[in-house]
Amino acid sequence: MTAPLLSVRDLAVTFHLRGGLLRPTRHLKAVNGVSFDIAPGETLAVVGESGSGKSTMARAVMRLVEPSAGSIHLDGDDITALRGEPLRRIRPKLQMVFQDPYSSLDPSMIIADVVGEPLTVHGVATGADRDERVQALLEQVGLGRYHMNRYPYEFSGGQRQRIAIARAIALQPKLLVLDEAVSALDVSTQNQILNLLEDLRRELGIAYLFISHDLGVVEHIADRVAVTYLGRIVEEGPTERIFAKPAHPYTEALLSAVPIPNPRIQRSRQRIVLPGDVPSPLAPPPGCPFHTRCPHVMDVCKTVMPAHTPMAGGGSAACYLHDPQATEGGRRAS
Amino acid sequence: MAAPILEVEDLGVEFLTDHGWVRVVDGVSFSVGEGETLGLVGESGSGKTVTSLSVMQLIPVPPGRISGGSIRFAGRELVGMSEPQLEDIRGDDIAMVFQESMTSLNPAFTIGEQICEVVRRHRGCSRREARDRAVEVLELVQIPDPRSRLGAFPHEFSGGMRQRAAIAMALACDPKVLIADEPTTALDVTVQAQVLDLLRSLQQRFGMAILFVTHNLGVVADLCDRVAVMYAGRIVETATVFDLFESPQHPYTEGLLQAMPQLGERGKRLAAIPGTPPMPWQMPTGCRFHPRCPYAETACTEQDIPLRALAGDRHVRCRRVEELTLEGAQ
Repeated sequence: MTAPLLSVRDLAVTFHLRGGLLRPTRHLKAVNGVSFDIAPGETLAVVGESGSGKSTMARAVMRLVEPSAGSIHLDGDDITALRGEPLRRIRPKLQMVFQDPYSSLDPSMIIADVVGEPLTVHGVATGADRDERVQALLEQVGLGRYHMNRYPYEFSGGQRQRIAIARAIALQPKLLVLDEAVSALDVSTQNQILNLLEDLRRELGIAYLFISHDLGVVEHIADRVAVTYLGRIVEEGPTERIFAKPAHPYTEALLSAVPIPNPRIQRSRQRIVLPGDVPSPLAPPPGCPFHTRCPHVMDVCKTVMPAHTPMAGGGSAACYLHDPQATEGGRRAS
Repeated sequence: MAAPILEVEDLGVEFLTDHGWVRVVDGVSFSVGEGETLGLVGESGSGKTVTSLSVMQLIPVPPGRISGGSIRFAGRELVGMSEPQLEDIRGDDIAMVFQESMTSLNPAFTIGEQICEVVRRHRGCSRREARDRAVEVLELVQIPDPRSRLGAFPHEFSGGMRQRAAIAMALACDPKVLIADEPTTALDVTVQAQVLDLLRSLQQRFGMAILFVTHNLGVVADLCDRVAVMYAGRIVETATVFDLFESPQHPYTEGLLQAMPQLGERGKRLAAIPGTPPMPWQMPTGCRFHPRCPYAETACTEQDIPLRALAGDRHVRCRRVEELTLEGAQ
């Protein structure tokens, strides 16, 4: 494998929730001991349900929230603790597209300025040169020069997301972080944007960190998938393997919970309906975070977080079911 | 199909906008049989939510108004019914569950108070009886330790529990019809699976009819008996769930089915319906889908296309239905 473009090791992000007079400050570990790599031009999807910490992971990579532990390397440089000017200098390599195209575009700016601002800020182009580049960018995302002098309110959700993407690729980034970038769109529009992302990846060789809760979309767009639960990655691996042979019971349940849009298949398949809710990240259970809902729970799961075990077909899963020694001991104990 | 309990006929709903009176629901007709689940499917702006709100006469007037048509519950006309009469029906015979349980529940009252209010309004029973009923329905939706949860406020519940509490409230008076507007859209998939299972088992036990409004075809495949597909304020196709997925008759339905990423092959380009839905004040002439339809001909742009009945209790609004062979779900 070539050297990774992005390398994240043992990343943790803790939020400190201020208490009151009688309430102590509480600590919320949104991300806890997370490691992953993204190769140049590769798409890694991070999937999980609300509260799994996937958006915080994305923000930590973007350096929008401070990591409390671990390291982030981009293109060989340690960016974990960069601030000020040095941080600003790496920004062109690292851009982001947000979920809501209504709040991520400044309503008082015309599109030429929205898309052109990164070029101005980083001193890439000004004046007529800038406008020329903006026009090329708009054409690249399927819009035209006649859109340049319009305001965001004149565009539909899908068009706005195209504008946000044009802005994000203006500086030719190596990594684009997409946080639920198609979740707010209707299916027909969503697919237009997914096809656009696919084209841009082929033309520009950008790597994507694709945060999503939609497994159907992820199966289509990702090379590799990382499954998160309560701030941890419980399984990761090549997309084909994850979808065909999920190793972690949570991944299995998650895939089983997505209804297949074909009534004959959907109504005859074996479904796993998990009991209960995701525990509060303020009071995560000890041991494996999933043990409170896991159909295969053993005694050992309740005390010690399992380590990642490599899986046949690629990737790894953090589950004692795949750790022969623990399974032996656990079965006997329970 | 079982005897219809809810019949909507030629419904028209208009809103006063900067563009004048705009018709967002136009000539919508469907019926839901006793114990049946009808899925009302469409993208944002298709008019599905306005249709479901109209059944309960819950569209804000002004700026909205029901401009025509008829909505009958068990043979009784709801359009034009007086407010006190409607209040007798809402929450009793017809109940509703919304997408956002945080906004549909009142944050200032406990779960118990909100369920008891419905029961006492419609059953006129004592506080104690109402509380017992509240415990019963919370138990029904699998809220653990329901008696002690009566005093909890909505914010103390998780999203999934809130939605179950909202379903409990809707079930409190044994409704004949449950209108569920995107009830699982805001939930995580594992919780969505729980709620869908719950609705299915409740329906098997109590036999209520469900009008299920959603944009998610996976959920439709899971739960619904029949489906009505809406586009630009009109129903373009109705069919049983198996027929609709296997052999769609309207090009828009085909487009929606082909656009599901799960059905595409990995690495292949995703099918997308070109363009965007029209704004309600700029409806295209003729078939409203023609600007985006891969099968459109000149004639499609000229005359209005009626919803035609086909064999097997199917309806479709397409003039080329006989010539076209459309692709269903694999």
